[in-house]
Amino acid sequence: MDMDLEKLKKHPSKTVREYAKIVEENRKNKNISLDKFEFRGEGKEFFNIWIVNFFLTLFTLGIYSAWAKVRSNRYIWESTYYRGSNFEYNAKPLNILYGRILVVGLYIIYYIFAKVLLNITLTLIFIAIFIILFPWLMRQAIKFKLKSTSYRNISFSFRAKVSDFYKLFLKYIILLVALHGSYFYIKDYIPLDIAHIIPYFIFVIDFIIIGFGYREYKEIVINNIYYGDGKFNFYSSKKDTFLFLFKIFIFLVVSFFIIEAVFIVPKIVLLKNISAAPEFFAFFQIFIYLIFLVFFSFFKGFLDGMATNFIRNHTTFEEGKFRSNINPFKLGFISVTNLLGIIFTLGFFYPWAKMRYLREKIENSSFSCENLDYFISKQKDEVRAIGEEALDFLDIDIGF
Amino acid sequence: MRVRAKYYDGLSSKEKDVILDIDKDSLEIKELKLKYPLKEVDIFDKVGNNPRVIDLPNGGRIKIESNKEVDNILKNNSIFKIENSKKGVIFILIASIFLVYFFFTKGSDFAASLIANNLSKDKVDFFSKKAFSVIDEKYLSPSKLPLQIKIKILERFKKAYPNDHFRIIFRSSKTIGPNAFALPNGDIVLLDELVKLDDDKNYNGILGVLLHEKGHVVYKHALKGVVKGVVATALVSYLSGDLSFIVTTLPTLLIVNGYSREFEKEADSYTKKELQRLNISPIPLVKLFKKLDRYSNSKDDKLLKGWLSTHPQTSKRIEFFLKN
Repeated sequence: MDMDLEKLKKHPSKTVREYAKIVEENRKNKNISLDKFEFRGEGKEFFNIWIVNFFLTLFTLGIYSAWAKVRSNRYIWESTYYRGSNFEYNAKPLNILYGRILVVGLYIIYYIFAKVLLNITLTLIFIAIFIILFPWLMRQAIKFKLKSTSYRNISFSFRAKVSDFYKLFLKYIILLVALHGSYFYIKDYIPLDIAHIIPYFIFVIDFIIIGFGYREYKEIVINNIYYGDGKFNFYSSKKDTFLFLFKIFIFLVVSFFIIEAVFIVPKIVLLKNISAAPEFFAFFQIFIYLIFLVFFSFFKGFLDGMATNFIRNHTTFEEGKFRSNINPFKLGFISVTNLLGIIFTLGFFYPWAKMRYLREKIENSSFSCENLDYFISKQKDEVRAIGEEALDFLDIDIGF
Repeated sequence: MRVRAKYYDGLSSKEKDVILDIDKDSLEIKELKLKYPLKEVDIFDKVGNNPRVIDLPNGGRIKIESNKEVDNILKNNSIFKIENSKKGVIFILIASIFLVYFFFTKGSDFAASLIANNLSKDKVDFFSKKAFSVIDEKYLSPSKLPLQIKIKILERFKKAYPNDHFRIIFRSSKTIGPNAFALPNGDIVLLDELVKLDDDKNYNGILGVLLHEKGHVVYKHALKGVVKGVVATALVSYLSGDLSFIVTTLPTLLIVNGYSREFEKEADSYTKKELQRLNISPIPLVKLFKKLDRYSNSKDDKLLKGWLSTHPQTSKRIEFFLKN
């Protein structure tokens, strides 16, 4: 091993405060030279992979889906470049298959309890067990995803303790229950003239609590991510967090009024034609549903853009700095057009949709690192895919 | 042959440009004094046009930019070959469409009858009673029909099917309106509101409705509906990728509703066949249809629209029953 490698390996462990300082300094320093992430995935190429995956998954009644997942993830990871080197996805299909079988099995048991036997006690016990396991599942999911990812043959790893996740969930559940519980008990004593604004007030407090919960969650996640022996850090001051939440809040309020305005027209038409043919109603329901979908997918893209910018701009890797310049409106627009494309092609536009969304997110990110060569591998250990599969099943995103 | 490659030792994140010698049996990086037989290294399948990855027994990893000559030596697996041939992709595309069609039609029917045949009568009976008790408690109240009418209807049905053990459960419900529905075990729930609409002396209209409901049981429509719903949900959520559940519910509902229309047609033709077999005129049933139609047009609330609300257009059905 060379001398400088030896030196860098034993960099002094820093305290959280020191890391926070680095993040802040990096954020303010505008003169850092940044290298862009690059995405070379193409819709046409991904379509070929996707359609073969689709066929084989269907043909094997779902069993192939584990191999399909590895193959499409490999395509995405391997198409993402930083400084000429691409990322690597190393998950084993069998691990994913075991996870999937377990999750589907549990879901079937739940379905039988809840929908066939109509046994409320057993259903509630099942849900309670799931809630209790949820933080653990979450940690496993992140661990599996990172463990499966490498760059230049060095793996990422996740070292968060399970207890961190439990503490986080408990804290915010207690906070929210306390808020709503106390509102429930005092609401009869609130003077009538202010009673009608209290729900809005509660909504704002909820929003702030959840926003800060999100920040704390990201702290737990990102501050425990390692690449080799190098550490990721996320730090956002209270002021920055407030600013971020405020922007989203304004966006939510404005779009609420826009939706109200847009829906006035179909509402009036419906009221005027109340005795019209059922076909007319069906047509209108689909129309309203489409409008709703357009708004919904725009929010999804917009919020994803906002959150990604916020997270990446407050993250460092060792001394290296991330920068993200996603235009949230553009990402929202891409999200809407993707959705419409997928609907009107009965799903066949999906590969192109996925690629253009990822390109927008990846190519607007950059990172500065003086020397990429000195990160040292940590021992590999096996992580089972159960967590990730459970979260996949529930459609929960853990990416950062 | 000799190619440029990148080497990562797996111990540090250093990237090294190397010259790789590769032939049918072995690979060698001279400058690093590494030489392995191909049997001992882990050659990854290629994905798209991405670099080829080879893992070495020493923990190192080699990446070679996509290269046809290297592909000839290392061979591509068949999945990669299909993905990269135009004919292969078009074939898979057409095969997928057929497979989807098959799953919605024959596949679902097969799965449904497989499940149905493996469910014992006791279990079906148990589930049916359980489901009925929930509905009964929530929406239904005891029937107020005079005993004579009940006996008349029961006898009418008994005459048509002397060997069957179907039960007819009499109830009334103001919230549901004129309606009748079959449980998976064959029991048929008949509401007073519907009986009152039939002015045929022999209750042949009601008999028609009961036959229709029996048709649903005979063709196992309830189970088929569940299986098709599951298949539709799985397919739609796969095709729409990682879009959330809200996106998938409407298309799924549309597909499932399309099916239920098919089920209704099947039950109607069962009814027509049975009426012909029993030598009973369809006129009382047609009259009942007309009354039901008038009734449901008078209600704005969807829930109150009665038996017809989940059924095809009345005029078409009447035409179907009157046609020879």
